[in-house]
Amino acid sequence: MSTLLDAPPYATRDDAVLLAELEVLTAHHRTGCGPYARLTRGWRAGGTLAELPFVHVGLLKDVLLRTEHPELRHQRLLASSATTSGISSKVALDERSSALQSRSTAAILAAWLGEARRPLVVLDDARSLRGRGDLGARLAAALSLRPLATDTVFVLPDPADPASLRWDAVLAACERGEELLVYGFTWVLWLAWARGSMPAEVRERLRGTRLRFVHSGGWKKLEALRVDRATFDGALLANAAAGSSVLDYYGLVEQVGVIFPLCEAGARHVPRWADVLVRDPWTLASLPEGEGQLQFVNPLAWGAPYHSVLTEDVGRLLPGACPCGRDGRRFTLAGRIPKAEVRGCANV
Amino acid sequence: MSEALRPVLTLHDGPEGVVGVWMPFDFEAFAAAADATRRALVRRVPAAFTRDEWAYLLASLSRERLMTQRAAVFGPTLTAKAPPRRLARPRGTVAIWLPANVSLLGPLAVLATLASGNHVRTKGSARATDLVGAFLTALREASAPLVPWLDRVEHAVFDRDDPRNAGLAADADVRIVFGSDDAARAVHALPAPLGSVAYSFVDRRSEAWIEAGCESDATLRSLVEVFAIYGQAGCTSPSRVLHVGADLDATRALRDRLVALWPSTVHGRQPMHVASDNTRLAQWAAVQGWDAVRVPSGEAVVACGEASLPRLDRGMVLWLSPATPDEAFAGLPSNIQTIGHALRDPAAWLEGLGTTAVRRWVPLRSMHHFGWAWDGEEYWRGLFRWTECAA
Repeated sequence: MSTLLDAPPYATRDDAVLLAELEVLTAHHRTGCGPYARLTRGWRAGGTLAELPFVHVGLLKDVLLRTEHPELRHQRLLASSATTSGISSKVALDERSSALQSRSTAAILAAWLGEARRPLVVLDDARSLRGRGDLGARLAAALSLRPLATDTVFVLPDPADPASLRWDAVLAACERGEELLVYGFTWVLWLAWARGSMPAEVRERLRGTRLRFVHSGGWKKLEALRVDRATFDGALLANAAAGSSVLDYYGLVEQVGVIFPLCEAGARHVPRWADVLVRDPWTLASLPEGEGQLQFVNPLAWGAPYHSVLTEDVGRLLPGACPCGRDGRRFTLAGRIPKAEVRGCANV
Repeated sequence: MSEALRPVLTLHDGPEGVVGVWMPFDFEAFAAAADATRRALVRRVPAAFTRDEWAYLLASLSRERLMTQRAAVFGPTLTAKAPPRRLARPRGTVAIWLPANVSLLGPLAVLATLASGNHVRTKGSARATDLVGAFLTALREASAPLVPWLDRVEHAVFDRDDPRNAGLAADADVRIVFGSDDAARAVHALPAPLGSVAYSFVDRRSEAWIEAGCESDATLRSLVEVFAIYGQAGCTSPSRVLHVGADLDATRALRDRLVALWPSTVHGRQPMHVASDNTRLAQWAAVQGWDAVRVPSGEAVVACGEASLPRLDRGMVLWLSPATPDEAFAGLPSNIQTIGHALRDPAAWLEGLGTTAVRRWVPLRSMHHFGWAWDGEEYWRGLFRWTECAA
């Protein structure tokens, strides 16, 4: 168990504690996961955070890593949305890590949304929850809000069809509280809610309800639609009571349990039980300043070695203190590494 | 009509007697125009091409190379009149199907076919940068000396399901398909004129064989240069390197020398996504049991291990394995194309080659150097209809 979870997410921390926990985890995975042991051959504890081995996020698409240990009980696999490559990352969930991850997410979200419980409206379909297959990234993100919810209602029976939004279910949720949590992937929230055909009765009711919109999943699709953040937020808040808000967070399946909300100063904040490094994509050197590949670490992942992951997202660390007043490391996100077509002969 | 675009009959001293070649234009004028085009285009690399690609493409416009390639097919030109035993003339129309990632082979195929005096009709892919289109545009924008010949080229971009594929096949005297085995089958299943001929350039793999004791720095630099152009995506790039007669320790030492030589051999860095992918591939290789090292600046991964370990056939990973000569022959894939060799006595290996499907057996540095025979197939010769002649 991580002792770092015992304090609020943006309180100060002793970096040595985090590093020590991460090294314990690294050793644990090297013992219980053969492929990871081969990958980290030669590693020794006692180094710096930058020397901690990482798993490239793409490897989780190629290989299912799972750590075996007598005290671990593995659960379902968590699958990424595979929007770019068409191939999902697979992350092996386990009971012990899930408990830590739920605690982490709840603490982070509570720090931004308050601890009060309210009805949670999810713009997705709950059917995959009932299956035994992989758990998708969108549903996993929605479920992370459940500790802040009195009840959860899924209102988009056909996630591919924004028009399938069940406004009657939204209206019913309004009857159960003065404030609603509304979660959706960014582009789903835009198409189904902000640009959806909201019935007049629902519009009227929402104007008297405080709405806490929470979204994740990135802006790629909205950029294609030329929708910027101000337009997005404005459209969502147009039909909501005073005191409503929109929270954008960045998270990835390969760092399940740790999310990075965007503050009003434009920074993404890292909780005290996690950290972010920026690496030069060519030399892999850790960069204190400048743009590079983001690497995230957290001490919550026991069932598989995704406690240190090099992503294909590009960003930079922000220096100094944040005007928003939150402590700890923070960064900006520039987007995905630009891809280019594969050139060669006819055989690839 | 300019003089250069008038029909010309040339005579050649072919291996089986004198060959007459009838062309709708003067080949020598074509070669001269190509050479002048090369000089005109050398300064500006179009955005669609990398610098290396452009250099390779322009090199194929060299007059000397074009004349040499023609001579390789028909024999040297005869100045004195002699009765030909055979007469060659272009078949008519050549249709070329290019897949999404065929890269330079598209423009190279257009050039070679144009040089054969045939009309050229090409189908590019809508899913990738259209290098044939970019090449033709560059020629026209520069008012290159080859432009008068471009009236003989018809280029279009459409999908594999487009009905124009059928029209292309129906009118073609020669069909040339680059792509997967399935893509080639689909094209050749389309109705085509009786008597038409077809060439398929499909999924092929190549290897490099380096004999223990033949690992000079020059050889290793050649290997790096040959591999670095397209990595695993090039059909004439080595998909693996066999260190023949070596053990694993010697192969590991070879790996370390390659890694050390890489930065001074290949200049300019790879795009960010390639560097990142190489991090991923190095990890994948390590997980499979390879001793993989990422070149310090991320351009490639060089992995060393037994040949039986799993490999990926994509990306910039060079797989090195020790092998005995027997293991080298036994492990060849069925779709082997080229073996680039660095051996003490390459001729001594020819007996072993007889039992394989190897199409090309060339020095390692020449793996990408092919003329008008591709995949070992003398397709350029096949672009001509041949007539027996007797006095």
